[in-house]
Amino acid sequence: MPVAIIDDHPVVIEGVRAWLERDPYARVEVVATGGDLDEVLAGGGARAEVLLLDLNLHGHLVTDRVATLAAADHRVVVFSQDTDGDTIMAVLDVGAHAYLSKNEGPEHCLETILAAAADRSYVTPSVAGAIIADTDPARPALSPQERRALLLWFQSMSTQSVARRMEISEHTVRQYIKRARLKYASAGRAAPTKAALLARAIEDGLIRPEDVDTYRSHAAE
Amino acid sequence: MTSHATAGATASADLVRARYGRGTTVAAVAVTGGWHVAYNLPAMVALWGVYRWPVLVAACWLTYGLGVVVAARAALAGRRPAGLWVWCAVTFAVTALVAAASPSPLGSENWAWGAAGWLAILLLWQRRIRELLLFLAGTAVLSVGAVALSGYTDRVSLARTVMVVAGTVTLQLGFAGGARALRAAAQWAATAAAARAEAATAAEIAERTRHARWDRYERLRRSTVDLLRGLADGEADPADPLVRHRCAVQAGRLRRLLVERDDAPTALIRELHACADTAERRGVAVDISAVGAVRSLPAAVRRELAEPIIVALAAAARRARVTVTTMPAEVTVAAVVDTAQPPPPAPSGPVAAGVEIQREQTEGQLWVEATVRLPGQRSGGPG
Repeated sequence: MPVAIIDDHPVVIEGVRAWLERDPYARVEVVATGGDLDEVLAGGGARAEVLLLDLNLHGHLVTDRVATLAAADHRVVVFSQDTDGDTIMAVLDVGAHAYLSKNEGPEHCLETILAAAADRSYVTPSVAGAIIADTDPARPALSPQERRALLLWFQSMSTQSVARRMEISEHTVRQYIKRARLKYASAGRAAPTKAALLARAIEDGLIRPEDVDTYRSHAAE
Repeated sequence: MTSHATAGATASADLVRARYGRGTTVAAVAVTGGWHVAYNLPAMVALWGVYRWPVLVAACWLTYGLGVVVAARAALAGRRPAGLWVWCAVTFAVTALVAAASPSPLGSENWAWGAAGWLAILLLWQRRIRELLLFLAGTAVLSVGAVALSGYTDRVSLARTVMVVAGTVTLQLGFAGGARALRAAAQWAATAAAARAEAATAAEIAERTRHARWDRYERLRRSTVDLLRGLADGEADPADPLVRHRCAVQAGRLRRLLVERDDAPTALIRELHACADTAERRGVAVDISAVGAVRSLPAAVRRELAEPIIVALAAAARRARVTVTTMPAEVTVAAVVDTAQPPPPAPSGPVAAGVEIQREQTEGQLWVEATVRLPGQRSGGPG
């Protein structure tokens, strides 16, 4: 599965490449890297299925580029040192598939990219934290279990531990977390990537088609 | 600014204002009182025989004196004199009576004419200038009327009348205006002084924070450089799990320093960072993550929130993750640590200051979660 890495620090690119090459099944192949988004897209990045994009390129945030990429149906995983909750929510709102914080890279990088390639969203602990601390009045309503699952996931970074704390199965924990993420996919700005996430979720049986309307009407309150 | 500092600034502003204000009040009292004793009294006594009803004039002088005492006490205490309008009427009456008792209203025996204005200034101390103007206009009319009624309608007398009225009124208005202007200036001086003190304090705090941060950076830099040098020289083998652990610890510390954005992080975050530093010196890799808009919490709540985290960090073997989650309705601080040995068991449940603690101890891992509900917020999201 081809992936392109865009970061203005070569050492980060090498590091991520090393992480991805550790996969015993070699599911991910790095086809293009560079510090300039347009150059990478013009070159080998054109055939990448997932773009791993550093949000802070050459000193400024490229959130608007994420929006244009998502509008053009590119799967973007934002990779950043800045774990400010507002930035994370903004990036997800404009259509990024996922957000990965640089310090949670090793454990979650591969999962995030593989999930994004399949139009599923892997919820990293930083995203979970951003969602529970979200104070936007137009945010979607989460159920108490979804909030609890997100909070415990943010605290422990281990689905096994969360499952034990909540006395449910790991599968159920992942369901809660994914559903919470999907509520955000159906709210806010429309983007082809968000629609793709929702379509895949319906296929997977995670949500029902009518749920999408419910989520949207909650967000409109 | 903290509420302490703001209260301090307001108190000092009041003090400055009061000190400045007192000076002008004392001046007004001195002028009025002095005028009454050093001018009115000699005039009355020297021209005693001239009056139509001398005893009445003496009674007026005493009444006026009483009025000065009452007004002075009220003005110095910063409050309105009791029976203010009664005293104003009395002053008018005194002016009229003395004028009537004097054969020549323009002569020095009519001491009430000029003196009335000074008593009015004291009575109407720091009130709207309109009231003083009205009073002075009233006495002016009274005086002109008294002159006319006494038959002094020739041009010279009228000119003298106008001169005296204009002279006393401008002097008294000038004094009153000056007192008010001085009070306004005192206010500005107090506000400016308070603002300067605030700015100086803020600058001092920022400078101290910067120094503290720089010191931490310097110490961190030295230890990181040592580690990197070891890796470069080949002394530290990256395959060695111990070396990797050291790298993880250093990376965590650097990350924490870089992530600090606020000029003065909240007290809770500062305390947690301090605990993390202690754990890191023992070789534990600590990862601190905070989400949500920071809230200022009372010291007792902070203590109860941080306490279980400190204990958990002390029990940590190699890794620890500390999280602070600020949601609209509650704040949760949690620590998940790996433990070589389980710490002494402690109960879950509510502790002081509204904080609830949950603990979970499993094989090799301790999870502590401390939550406090915040007052005055709806919980959860919309709907």
